Amino acid sequence: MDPSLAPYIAVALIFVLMAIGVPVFAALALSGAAGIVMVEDFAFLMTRLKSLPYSATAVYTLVIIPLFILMGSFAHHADVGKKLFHVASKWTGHLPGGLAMSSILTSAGFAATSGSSVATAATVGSVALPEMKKAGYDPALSAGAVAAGGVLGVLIPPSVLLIFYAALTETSAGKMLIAGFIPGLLTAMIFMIGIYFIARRGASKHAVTPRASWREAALGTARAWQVLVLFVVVMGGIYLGLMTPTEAGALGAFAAFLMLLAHRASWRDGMLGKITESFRSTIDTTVMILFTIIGAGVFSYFLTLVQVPNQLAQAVVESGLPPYLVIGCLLLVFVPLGMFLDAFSMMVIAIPIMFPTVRSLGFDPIWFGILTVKMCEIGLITPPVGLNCYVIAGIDRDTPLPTVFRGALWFVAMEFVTIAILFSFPGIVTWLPNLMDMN
Amino acid sequence: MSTIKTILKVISDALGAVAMLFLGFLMFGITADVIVRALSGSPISGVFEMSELSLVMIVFLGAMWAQGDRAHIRVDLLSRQIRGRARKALMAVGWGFGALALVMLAWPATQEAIYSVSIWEFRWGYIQMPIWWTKIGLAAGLWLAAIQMTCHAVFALAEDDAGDPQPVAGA
Repeated sequence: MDPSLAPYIAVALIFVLMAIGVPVFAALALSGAAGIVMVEDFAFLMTRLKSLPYSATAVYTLVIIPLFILMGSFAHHADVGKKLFHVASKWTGHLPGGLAMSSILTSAGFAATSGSSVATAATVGSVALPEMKKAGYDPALSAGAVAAGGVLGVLIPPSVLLIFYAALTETSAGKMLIAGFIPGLLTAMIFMIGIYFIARRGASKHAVTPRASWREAALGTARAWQVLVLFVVVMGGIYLGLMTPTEAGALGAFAAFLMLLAHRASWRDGMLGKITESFRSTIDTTVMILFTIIGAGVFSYFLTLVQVPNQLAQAVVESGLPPYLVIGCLLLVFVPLGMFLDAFSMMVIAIPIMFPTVRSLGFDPIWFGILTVKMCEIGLITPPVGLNCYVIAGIDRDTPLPTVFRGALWFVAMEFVTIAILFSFPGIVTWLPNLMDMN
Repeated sequence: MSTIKTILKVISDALGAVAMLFLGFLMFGITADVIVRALSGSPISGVFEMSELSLVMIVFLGAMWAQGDRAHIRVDLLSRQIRGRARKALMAVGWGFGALALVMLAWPATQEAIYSVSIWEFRWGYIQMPIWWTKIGLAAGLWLAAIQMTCHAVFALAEDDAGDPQPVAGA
């Protein structure tokens, strides 16, 4: 067989295997292996695979992944989300769509303790949706706000997806995490402005809670001290260079563990069960992510072997196309991919191919990483596999899935506005990471 | 079939419990290292190296739990559209290919583990840390996960496997 056909066959094989329900890690590993055998031979493949599972997992930077997930899980069981929502609703509950805004604020706050979009959507959804329903909110708006708010979980540090990108591209994990902070706040702000305009019409206009006094709101905010503590421990340590991101993750997980132990209600409901559940779900997710990295490792090795990424980068650079147009087109590839794949799968397939082009064109990998994560976020709230929308539909059985997706569509439009701003003004992303260099 | 399921559960729970210990080490060990370093100016020897090895153990000893909880990402657009025998066959094929990928990784990893034990392999960091034991854990975890996924493929033919991917905490 002509070896030049190998990349096409391997890529096609990935999609065929995924379509028939093969786990993503296996689809990547088998496709990569098939490609390697096509250009080399089976013995070469076996030699290469001898050390790959070990070298792909015995990586200190990746140790942060289970620690961030564990921290979020402990924070969830310590009812951090519930406290945050009550605080946020005191500040914005009196505005049109105020409770939906509160859910965005709660998501942003919880995202500072959790690295996961789904965990953020599930935690905030279980607290905010009943309140919004009680207040008579339009179900599409309330479900859409909570589903969209969940995406802040993968943008506001700590974020597992930012670490995943850093690992794939060998970018500084600390800088990637810090870079997510301002875009995360910007996204939350744009969501809140959008909600204000949406809620000025329809059922949500008059569905407001009594206005809290400044004093009451300020005192209530002190109840959300846990978020501040976790955020300062983790991001403060990284930003000031006192700790590595992994150490900050361990300290954050430990602090969240102490918060769970101090949470009286958890002792009544079975503390040991909550701790065990946190550990088990963390292990499940870590295995899933690391196996995906192993599968991606096999596939990336094949791509490197046939030099596809380098050839693509060279062709793009020599084409004379405007660099920003190229980046725009690369980012738009995530829209169709997001309709069928989750964020991790999108990244492992696309980033090894795209990244050399981005570097060759001279763009900042951190800026591109944030834009990539933003594009992946859109996939989390658009049909047919918008994971956050499924989670919300699972929590609120009265709101059908199409209504959740309809509500999330407003936020997809807001996401594109945010991406356009970040694309046009890279400084918003790169300012904080660059300050780290100066420090 | 239920006996096999019970055996798989016992093994996965045992390995999962060990993986939990390693996860506990990551949280407590690294925290202790940070505190000791802040107080005394020098780190606890071996925590850095042990952290890397702990991640290996968490991943490969936790692999059976992850599959048991259906934590691996799958695209289920097609399998959700069909019912009956076709669905069962599709699920079986999906898990079958998954098992094949695991075997493909397990075989060379076993050869690597045998070699590693034969030379009592270690790595240098701040201290000399033996790593041969993690390679045994890695190979064993892969083989057991492959056996479990093969069983799931067979079970899927006999009974309806829900198999839909769980929303994962990392996404």
